[in-house]
Amino acid sequence: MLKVNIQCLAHEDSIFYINELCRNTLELIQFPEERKVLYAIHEVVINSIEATEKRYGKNHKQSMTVAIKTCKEEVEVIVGDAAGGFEECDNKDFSTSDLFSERGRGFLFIKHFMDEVLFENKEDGLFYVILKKRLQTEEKANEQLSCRNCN
Amino acid sequence: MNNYHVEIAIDHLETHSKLFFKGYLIYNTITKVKKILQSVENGVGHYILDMNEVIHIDSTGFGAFVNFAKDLIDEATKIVIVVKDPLIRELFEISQFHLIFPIVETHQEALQLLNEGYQPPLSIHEY
Repeated sequence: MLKVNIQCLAHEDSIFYINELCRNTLELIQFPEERKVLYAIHEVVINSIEATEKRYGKNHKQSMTVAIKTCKEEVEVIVGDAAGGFEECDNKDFSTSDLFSERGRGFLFIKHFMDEVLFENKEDGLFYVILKKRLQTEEKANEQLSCRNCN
Repeated sequence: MNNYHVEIAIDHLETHSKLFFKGYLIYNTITKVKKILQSVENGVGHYILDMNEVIHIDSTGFGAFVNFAKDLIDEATKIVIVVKDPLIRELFEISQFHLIFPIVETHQEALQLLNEGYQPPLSIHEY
């Protein structure tokens, strides 16, 4: 198992470092769907940065965290910030986002690329997005293919 | 500090205009992307939007790109998007934009579609 924890300013300048550190981590373990996981992480990170700037202003000193936990079968990523999260995170329905609006499309992509997306709103204002991607074994892929063929 | 770059080149031809997107269309470059797209003067005829040199497009870049394309398209103006990258093609499919903008891999395919006067499965109004 490999665990990598990143803590940095929730600022646009941090995006490059987070992207590169996450890419290097996933490359090290040779995770097959690396690009999709990286895409999802990037989307959550820009949401966190935007939400933090909205809450604290452009010149804030708030930090954010990105934790990657990998094992043979799964990658789990937890992105945390102090921006307060959603008011009703459990009921947030991203599938009905207006696709022609400039924003709101990010979570649609995230949900498509990841197996599980969870939100945790803590009482102290900390907000976490948890992403999980399981390794697609050949056996599972064949099962899905045969199901699709049956339908 | 910005480690990401973006370039958009425009080529107005007799029958259509070509726009070449290169680099990163992401949160870090979005202000520049929007500024360039706003400065694009309407050309004559149809458009080919080439994304084969795009390294990464995130939801903010995708939003700016699609809104730009949406503003260009009408009954008389056709748009074809050229992109080979499977992930970017998948983004268009997730958003179902492939139903209003044809997405092909090469310029030859794009020109052929424009010359044949394609009809997308959905018009911009039906989307």
